[in-house]
Amino acid sequence: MIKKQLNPNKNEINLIQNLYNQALNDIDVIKKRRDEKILNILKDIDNKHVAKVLQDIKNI
Amino acid sequence: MDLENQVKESPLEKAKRLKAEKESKDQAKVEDETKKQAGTQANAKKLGSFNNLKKNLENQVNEINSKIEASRSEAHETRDTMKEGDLDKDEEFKSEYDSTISEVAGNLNELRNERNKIKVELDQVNSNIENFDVNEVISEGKEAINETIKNVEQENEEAIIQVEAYPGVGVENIEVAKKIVSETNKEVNRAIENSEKNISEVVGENKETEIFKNFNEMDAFVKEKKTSGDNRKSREIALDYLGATQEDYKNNPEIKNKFDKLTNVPYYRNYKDSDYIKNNYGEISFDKFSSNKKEVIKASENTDFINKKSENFDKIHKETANTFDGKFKLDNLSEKDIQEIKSKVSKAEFNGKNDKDKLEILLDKGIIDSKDILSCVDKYRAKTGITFFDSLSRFPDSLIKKIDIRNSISQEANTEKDKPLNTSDARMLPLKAFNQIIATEILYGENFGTTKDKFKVINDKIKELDEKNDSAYISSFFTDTESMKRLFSRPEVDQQGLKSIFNKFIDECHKNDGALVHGGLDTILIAKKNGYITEEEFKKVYPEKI
Repeated sequence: MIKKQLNPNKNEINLIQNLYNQALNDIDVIKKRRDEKILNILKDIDNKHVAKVLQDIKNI
Repeated sequence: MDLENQVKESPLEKAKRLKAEKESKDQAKVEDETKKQAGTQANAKKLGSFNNLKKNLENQVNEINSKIEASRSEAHETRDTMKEGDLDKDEEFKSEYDSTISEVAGNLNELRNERNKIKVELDQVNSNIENFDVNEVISEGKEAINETIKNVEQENEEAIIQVEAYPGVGVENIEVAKKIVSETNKEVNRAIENSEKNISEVVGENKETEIFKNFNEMDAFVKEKKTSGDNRKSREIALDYLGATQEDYKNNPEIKNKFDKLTNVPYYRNYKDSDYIKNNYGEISFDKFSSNKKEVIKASENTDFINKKSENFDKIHKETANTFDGKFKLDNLSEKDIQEIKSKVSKAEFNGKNDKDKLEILLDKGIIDSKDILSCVDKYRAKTGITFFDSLSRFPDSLIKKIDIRNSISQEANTEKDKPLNTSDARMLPLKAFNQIIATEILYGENFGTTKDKFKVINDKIKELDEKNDSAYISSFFTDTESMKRLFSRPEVDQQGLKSIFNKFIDECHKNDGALVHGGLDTILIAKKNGYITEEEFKKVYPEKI
């Protein structure tokens, strides 16, 4: 194994890793929020479609 | 995720989907671990290659140091041998003495240049090794972020397609979906910007704080020792602060790197606010400064130089322009004046400054052609026998020169203004114009024309340049090759002083391979052709051109 000549700053490395992980988690949360909103659009389309079908049935 | 199916899925379907999701995540974890292991191995290999390269470069430096030492000893011995025989004082052997000295000095310089090149490479490798772990973490982090961004973009597109293809979808639904996707992109960008800002603070400021603290302590340590009567050199005391000696510095790369880094702090403090840094790096981190120190300092100094010279140039050019355009307007000249001056040109008769000013305006406005002036100058010289350096015959020359200069400056500005400027261009453009003005002022200027002791002006300038020892400014003295020829041809000019500053000019060309000194090669070629410099001096600057 290669011996490193200088002591790496472990705290700094951990901090940077944590910051990147935090960014990835934040993006994950944003993605979930997007999916939820898109899902709501689809549900809304369904609801309107069902309402329209019911209205059509009533009108027959 | 299939959003359409998710809307309509039953509990059993949901259970199956979640199970599949879990399995997929577990599989991803295994793959991630494998990837990490491969990454660790690759990093170890990369660091190993950096260390090998470092060792190789250090060996090269040691080897070249030995060669330099040997070359220096030989140079000293060569010089001493020749001096012992008084070859340097004997007219017969003097030129041989000079050429031999130049040869050994040239060899030594070649080795030193070679060593500098290797050292620059070594500095870069050291920086790569020192920051290896941090650089790797950042590189991995960036890769992960980029991959995530790609996924988000792909999912965004899929989400829009799904909404568009959904049965019963309306235009308003698609618009809302697009708005959601756009908002998602903005939020992702904000998250990334925020993370980058935090990371740069960790990489930059924390490290800067630590290194600055260490430097301040070292500085205080040295001052305290000095005030308490420690007679050692500051450098020795500073090394002492690190618990090291000069020998350690020479032999231990870790100590050398640490010490060099600390000594970069005052440079960083001096240069971080320079215009060059602000324009090219913004708020530069200490690490970035350290790894680009040589380039940054040189470019900063060049930029400062340009700014300073540009200010001077603007001032001088403005004054010159005022002389052309402001002082005597063409409107102020009557038809009689115009006819009178035309007549004087045809007869080669001039009287004093007033004629000169009028002539300038006519020439400038294209009423009189510069060829007419040249023909007039020839007639005037033939008639009077007055040589070039006489102030009276000089004035039409001066006029043409000024017009040419102004035209060339404006032509160059027009040609160059739309091109992107690199450091060298940016330095040269104002300097070139400035040089022309300076050279003109020295040899054709008003002061020179009216002073009783015309060569005093030149000799004072030579003395000033020699004392200033500003190589770039000195170069401005020689970039007008015509001026140089005249200077070297006049016994009234301080030839010793001229040679001294010319040698400094040669050194400057040598240091920069002639590239940064405008007209350096032309000037030196002409100097060689005319015998102002020896073959050896020429070789010293352009050995590869021989």
